[in-house]
Amino acid sequence: MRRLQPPASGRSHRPGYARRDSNLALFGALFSGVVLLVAILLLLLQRADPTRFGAFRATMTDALAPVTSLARAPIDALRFTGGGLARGWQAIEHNRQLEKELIAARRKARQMPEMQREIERLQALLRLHRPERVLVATGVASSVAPSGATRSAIVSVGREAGVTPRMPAIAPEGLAGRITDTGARASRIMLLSDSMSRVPVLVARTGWAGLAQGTGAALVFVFDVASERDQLLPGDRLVTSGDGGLFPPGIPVGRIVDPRHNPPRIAPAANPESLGIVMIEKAWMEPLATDIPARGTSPTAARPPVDRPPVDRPPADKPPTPPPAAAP
Amino acid sequence: MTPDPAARRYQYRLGLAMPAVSIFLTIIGLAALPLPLPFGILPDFPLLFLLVWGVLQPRLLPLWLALLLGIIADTAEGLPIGVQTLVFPLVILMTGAMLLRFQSRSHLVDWISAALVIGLATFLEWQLMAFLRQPTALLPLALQAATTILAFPLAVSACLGIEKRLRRWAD
Repeated sequence: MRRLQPPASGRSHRPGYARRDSNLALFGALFSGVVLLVAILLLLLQRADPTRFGAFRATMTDALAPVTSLARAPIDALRFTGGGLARGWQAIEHNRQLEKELIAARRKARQMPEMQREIERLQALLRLHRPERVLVATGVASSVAPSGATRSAIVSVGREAGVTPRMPAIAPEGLAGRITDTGARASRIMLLSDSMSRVPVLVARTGWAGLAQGTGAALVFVFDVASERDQLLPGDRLVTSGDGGLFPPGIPVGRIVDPRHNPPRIAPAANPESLGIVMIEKAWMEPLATDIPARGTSPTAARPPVDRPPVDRPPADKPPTPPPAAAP
Repeated sequence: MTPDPAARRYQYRLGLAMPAVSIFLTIIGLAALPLPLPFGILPDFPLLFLLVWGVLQPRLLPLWLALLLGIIADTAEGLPIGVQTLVFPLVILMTGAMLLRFQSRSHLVDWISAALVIGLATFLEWQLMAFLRQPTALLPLALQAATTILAFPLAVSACLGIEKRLRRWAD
């Protein structure tokens, strides 16, 4: 029987393919580690400075805007056709309702010039300086990202049209959200239902102030009312209050649909599924601190305090609202 | 069968790129879709396709490609960079571990394993959003994870269909 001889040198006698496989596995593990390190590094950079990837995000927004518009074209066409058919079907009923509303509006309009003159006279006496709303650009909101973590849309105007982060985006029906990222020819809107969205609002009927707060899934009204007798009613309209200086006052935000829910739920005035044409305006009042970065900035430094309170602050921390003031 | 070798090479390369292309298309497609539900929750198809392709064709989805797709997903969905950028490669690693663990699998075992990976990925996404100082509600993410798990068979049949066509094309 032949005895096994020890190897002459210290080198391994494994077959070549086994050694190659082992090396490949080692190289693969090292490469995996490097890729994960890169991902973690990107994450840490984003945390350290949320504006660091602003240029990259802007480029990607620009690149994605035409692709998403193209992908959305058939859906928009279907919606347009369906909407047209539905409007045609309900035309007579709709027409009757509009006629009624027109008569009521005319009756109100007769009283308006006198009221307007009175308001102007009082404002002149008070030397009130009211900031003007300034339209920056008008674009088409072409897509909505249905991610579980964010609620956003892309609009077809960007830096070239003068759009900058933090500007309010207003649809014909009401407030849509605010700009967070801007590319050269496209921008991203943070919608009202995004979990980072906070909009100071008033109840038009009572003048109670509060916040329309996105939860990521829905829009709710966070408020504090002194009297327990006072209650919200289904259908109560909410408009922007102008607090915080970002959104101009009087823009419809939504209406209360479930006042008994805690906090009450709001149906947004502007349907996020079909925003359509969107106006981008300048911030109603320019903030004193100018470095307001895009989405993802530190809550303490990013936005005005009223516009974005700390997330874990209970609504009770808000001072009680004074008795009803006139809604704008 | 294509007689021209250049055309065959082209088809082969296209086949190799198909998993990544299909994931990219789901990212773009989802960004373009309107919200069909009041909650706005659609299955996370990019994650689902990544998971299924990671099981079916692990060699065609290397880690670096998952990283690139993650960056694209972050920018397309409006997430801060780093969330899907980290989640996607980790999902590929998890599917690799799954493949080693369950050599002879049934569809049910696959589904349960996928549910586990989706749950972990969603939890990680939630934690990373909080880490990046953008805490988000867990409910929409949990709903999205649930719809993603339910849509798993759909993604499997779609990916199997693509793979079958590619095999037929390559022969």
